[in-house]
Amino acid sequence: MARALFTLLILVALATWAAGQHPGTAAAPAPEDQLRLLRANRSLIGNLVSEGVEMANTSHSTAARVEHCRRASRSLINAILQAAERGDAERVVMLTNLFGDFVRDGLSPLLEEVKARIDPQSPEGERLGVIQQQARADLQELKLTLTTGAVRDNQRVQESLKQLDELTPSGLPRPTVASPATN
Amino acid sequence: MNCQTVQNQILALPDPRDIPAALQQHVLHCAACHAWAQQAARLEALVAQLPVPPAPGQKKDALLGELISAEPLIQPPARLTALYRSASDSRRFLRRNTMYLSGLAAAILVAVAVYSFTPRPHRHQHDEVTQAEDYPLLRKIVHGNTALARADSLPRKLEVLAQMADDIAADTRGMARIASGDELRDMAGWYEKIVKDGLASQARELRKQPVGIPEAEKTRLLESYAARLQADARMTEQLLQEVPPESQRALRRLLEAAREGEKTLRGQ
Repeated sequence: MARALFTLLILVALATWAAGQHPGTAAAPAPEDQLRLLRANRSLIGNLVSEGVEMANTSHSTAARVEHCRRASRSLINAILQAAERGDAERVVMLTNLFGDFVRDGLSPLLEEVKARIDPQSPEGERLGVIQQQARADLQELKLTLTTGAVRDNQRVQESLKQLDELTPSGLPRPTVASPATN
Repeated sequence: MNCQTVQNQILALPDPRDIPAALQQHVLHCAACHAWAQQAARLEALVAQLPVPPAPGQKKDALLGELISAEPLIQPPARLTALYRSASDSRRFLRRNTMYLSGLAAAILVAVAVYSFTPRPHRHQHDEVTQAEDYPLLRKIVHGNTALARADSLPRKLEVLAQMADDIAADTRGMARIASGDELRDMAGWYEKIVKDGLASQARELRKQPVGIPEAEKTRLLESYAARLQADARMTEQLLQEVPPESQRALRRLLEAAREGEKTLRGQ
């Protein structure tokens, strides 16, 4: 009796422990899901590959590299806006998280680095100012869509929005050049 | 037969209470030997009544060891014996400490349950994304772009581009039986772009770079990436005969890009 009780307790404890775990990385999707995801992301991946290769082919710490980086982020925003328009909150959350990571770890530090190295009054500096303004406008457009669009009531979309809030003003500081250009 | 001989023979008997007929004759007529025989018989009876002390703990093992050293025909299952002894000890331990162990298990259960159900404020939002929308290839490409944005050296760029090419090639092969020809052609196009416009271009830059990286290091780097492209080509080639004709065309494009890239990286 005692042995049975003891075994049961151990099993319950193990089951509870296992249930409490959450995977660090998601397992590979099933083939049919992979196909669906490929179709949904085909155009986005194509754009990201092109901009990635362009980034590799431009010199470090140049406005040109920031430009390609900002275009990559714009591709992500376009995909988010499309998903938001369809009311696809899950996709919005997934893409917004990726966008947040990309801006926080890629675009923002690159912008800061390049800004620190070039003269803001030089043609390169002015170009950088415009790109920075565009990046900021992109982010504002995204936040506006997520707060007013079809997915605004989704709890997880709202959580993703909080992540975007952390990107400003430190992630994308206010531009020094007041240009209204957006894309 | 004198008395000493008779008494010695009585002592040598396996059981002095059972005197053989050859000695009986003398014992019955000799008072001294009769008393000797009675004393020996009484001593034997007393010895039989003595309590037997328990054998030492390792005595059985020692005895078995001796038997084994004599190479018996049947070897005892030594591991089973040890396991049996260990299991027996464990059972005894569990039986004696059931209450404590049950308490310990219950405490662990409560602790684990509390940990599991306590909300963790720092949990990253990525963990909450359902797998339904999480596309590993997209995530890898975004991470690749993030790394390329910050890549400040040719070796770092090569490393990131090679990883992106590997990821795309692996996914293309994985989708070769289920995706349409158009979709596979797109994937092969991504691979081709990264290899031709990215890797090969950076490899040429690396060769031209006059300072910073020793020639031997450049060769080693480029050779390692060429070997990865070679592996991509080999795996794609193996798959060619197993997929539909329209998928074969896309895979051939990937195969050609891998071979061309390999040649460029090797400076051929």
